[in-house]
Amino acid sequence: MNDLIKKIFKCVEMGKINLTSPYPPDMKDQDGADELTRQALDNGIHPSDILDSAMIPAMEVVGNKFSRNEIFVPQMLMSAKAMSAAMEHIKPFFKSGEAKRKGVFIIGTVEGDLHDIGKNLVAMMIEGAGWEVIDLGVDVKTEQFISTINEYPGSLIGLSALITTTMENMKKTVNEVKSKYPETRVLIGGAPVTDDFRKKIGASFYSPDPQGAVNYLNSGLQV
Amino acid sequence: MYSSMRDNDEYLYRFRAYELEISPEEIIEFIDKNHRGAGKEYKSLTRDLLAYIPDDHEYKGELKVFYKLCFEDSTSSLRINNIDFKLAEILYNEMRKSEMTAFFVCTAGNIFSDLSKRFTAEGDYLKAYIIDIAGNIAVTATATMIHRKITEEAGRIGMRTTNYYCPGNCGWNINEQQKVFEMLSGHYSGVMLSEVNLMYPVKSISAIVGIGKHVSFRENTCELCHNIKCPYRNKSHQEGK
Ligand code: B12
Repeated sequence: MNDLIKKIFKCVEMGKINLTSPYPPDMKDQDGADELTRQALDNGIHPSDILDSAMIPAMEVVGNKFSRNEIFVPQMLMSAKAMSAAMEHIKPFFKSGEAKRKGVFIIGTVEGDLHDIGKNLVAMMIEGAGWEVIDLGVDVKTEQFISTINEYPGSLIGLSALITTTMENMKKTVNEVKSKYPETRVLIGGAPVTDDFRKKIGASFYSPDPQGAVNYLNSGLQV
Repeated sequence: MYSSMRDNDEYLYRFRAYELEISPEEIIEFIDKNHRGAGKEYKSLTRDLLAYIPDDHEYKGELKVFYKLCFEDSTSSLRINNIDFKLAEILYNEMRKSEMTAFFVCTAGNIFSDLSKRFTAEGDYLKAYIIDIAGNIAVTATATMIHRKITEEAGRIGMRTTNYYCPGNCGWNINEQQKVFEMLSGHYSGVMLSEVNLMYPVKSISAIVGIGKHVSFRENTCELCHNIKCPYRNKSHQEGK
């Protein structure tokens, strides 16, 4: 593997954003994901190689470590920031078509609920896995989900709920989405949500953590 | 503060951060506790972030006391001034011995969420997360402080208090939040309730407290409840994950 690719991988995995970033302390005064991605592009490395061989697999390592409780939210956020610093350099290539995203993922906290910390983490990790993420925020009405699917045909949906009573609104959104767009995959999550609940409301997939959702998206979407 | 609690007495609270003891240390300790030691690395960042909150930022709350309680055992409901609270069994049992109740709403204001949004937009997710947690700790500390004040006041007339319980806790339907607001008749410390019963600013808490000679405070409210499958069992509101 190219040396720069290896270094970018490590920076994203460890959350080293750029030269001036003091985190992690043992990588102080070294180039970060920001500088190294620029250098890689200047050296003629193809943007999709940087994405597929460094950024995305590094975020996968991060997601798995989080699932195994080896790292916690702060470290995951540092990695997400390193990822987005690298992504800034890759973005122009999405426009030109030289690099591609895997698809569009629309996410929001359901109507009546405004707990968003978990939803934000899921959004970040899915973006880190190479998807374009449209974050509709909190207290999102079913109609907003529907009109956004309309805007992005073929997109996937993620719903988050943290209050037991707002899980009912999740059911309403899943029903509406499935009746208007039967092909649309709807992922659900949030502390009170379970796989039994998913079966009951006919959603496509449930995951207790972000990496489970990423794996599902990457698996070719088999249930 | 009045010398004794009377029916329909209203209390207005204004606190500063130092009174609530919201310091960088406390936030770091919180992150540490919930993320196995991951907080210490971010000590100076947390300090820098709290500097965004002016020293004179006010944490506000309003509380009102009611005497005329009408308990209806068959439906587990409590009626006060023609407003019927469907408390659900567990909470009803906790409140049942109350001689009076207090309702309150309190808030840490918009500043924490606004900063969090700003940092998110700038791609600074960690900053956004820490300041968001600081807001949660601040509003919880405000609620705890109001609870402490009302407990002191109750103590003066030989009474005790229950914990504070929020709509959404212990089987109490979150839609009842509307009724809590009705009880406070316009004194909301700037908190607004949306049509789906969410409070804005987000960093707000509303609650009921039971007051009486024979009520009790619980260290662990989960032990009251038999729902062993509850995903939130033994996770306190302050703990998060
Ligand atoms: C932080 C918090 C708050 C903060 C909100 C901060 C925010 N920006 O979200 C504050 C203090 C403001 C708050 C307020 C309230 N809260 Co609150 N809150 C919590 C708390 C402590 C933690 C939630 C959290 O952030 N967890 C950390 C994240 C990382 O975990 P997570 O959300 O579960 O997400 C993970 C997974 O579930 C998954 N995931 C999440 N979403 C999705 C989506 C998909 C698609 C997938 C695949 C996965 C996935 O991935 C994430 C990462 O692993 C919980 C208790 C708890 N222990 O969960 C109560 C809790 C959710 N709150 C509760 C309540 C009732 C309220 C209030 C309504 C109380 C009130 N009446 O005052 C208010 C509402 C405020 C308002 N403005 O209207 C109750 C809900 C009770 C119930 N019956 O359901 C809880 C359970 C507390 C309790 N024990 O009573 N709250």
